[in-house]
Amino acid sequence: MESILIGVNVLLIMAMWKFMLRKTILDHYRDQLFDLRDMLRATYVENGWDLASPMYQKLRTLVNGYLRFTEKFSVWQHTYLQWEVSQSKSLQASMKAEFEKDFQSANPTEQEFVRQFRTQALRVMINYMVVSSGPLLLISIVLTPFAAFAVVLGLAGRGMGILAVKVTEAKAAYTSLLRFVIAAVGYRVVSEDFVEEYSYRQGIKAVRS
Amino acid sequence: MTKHELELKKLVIGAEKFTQVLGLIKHVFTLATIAGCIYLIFNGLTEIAKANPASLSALSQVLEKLNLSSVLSYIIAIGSSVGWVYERKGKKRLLKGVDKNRQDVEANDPFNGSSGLTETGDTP
Repeated sequence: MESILIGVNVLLIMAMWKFMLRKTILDHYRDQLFDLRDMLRATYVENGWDLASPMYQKLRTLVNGYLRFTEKFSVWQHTYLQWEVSQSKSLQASMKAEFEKDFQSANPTEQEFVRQFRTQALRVMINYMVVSSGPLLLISIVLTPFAAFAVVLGLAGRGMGILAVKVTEAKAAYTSLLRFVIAAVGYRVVSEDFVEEYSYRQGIKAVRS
Repeated sequence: MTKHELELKKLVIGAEKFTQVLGLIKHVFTLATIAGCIYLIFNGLTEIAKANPASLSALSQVLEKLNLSSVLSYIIAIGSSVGWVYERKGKKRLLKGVDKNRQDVEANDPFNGSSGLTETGDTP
């Protein structure tokens, strides 16, 4: 009897992951990218920056590349490619130099915005790669209680009572902590520079084709 | 195409091959898990049938042995899944509207490059 229920339940979990959870995860991160793209346009309009400028086009192309290829982003493929590229220092340097040259602005305010925007978009992608990979998601979930415990110990050490934290605040803190752990796992596995450079190339290719 | 572009192209092809091999391994693992689950289910049914030769069917025994909490869990799971499907349909319908509004707002922009996704935000 037990074996029948185990068999049925494992099949149901697999179906849930493939047909429901992964779709919701993909939608969630694509929503964040669409929000970022809208924010990009709004910021350019608010600041009176030119929507025809090469910088706007490049940033929009970067996000469009992320949006278009989100589903194909595999943490393992990236890690493999990143390792291969790291074997050739000249290729690595050339990719970085070429990419950074594309995102230089003479306006310091715009330059700072570009930096922040790229970081935000990149975080979304790296988090997606971790969360959509079953093993890495599992590692993040397992690590989060330990990270929470470490935070609580730190608070207690500073004389703040655990009971002083309201339930809603604790929930918000835990969610933030899970996000932090997901990001930490992501940054351990993939190089942010490489993810950005590679996806930008893919986005440009998609626009051209 | 520059020397570096050619080099990267070769590495990308290598990475794609690596992903295909990884995908194949994953596929085999998934199929093995499904086969294992089916084996567990049929093995369990056979055992029940052997232990109770007088019973009309093994399936009726399974249903009899399901306790209330298990049945409730399945009802919760089915209810949540049905709710998820309808909520998703509703979200996709709203996304169509959002996409239309976005296109209207950006219609006169000098550059309004598209993500290439469908109007509901799915991969075409």
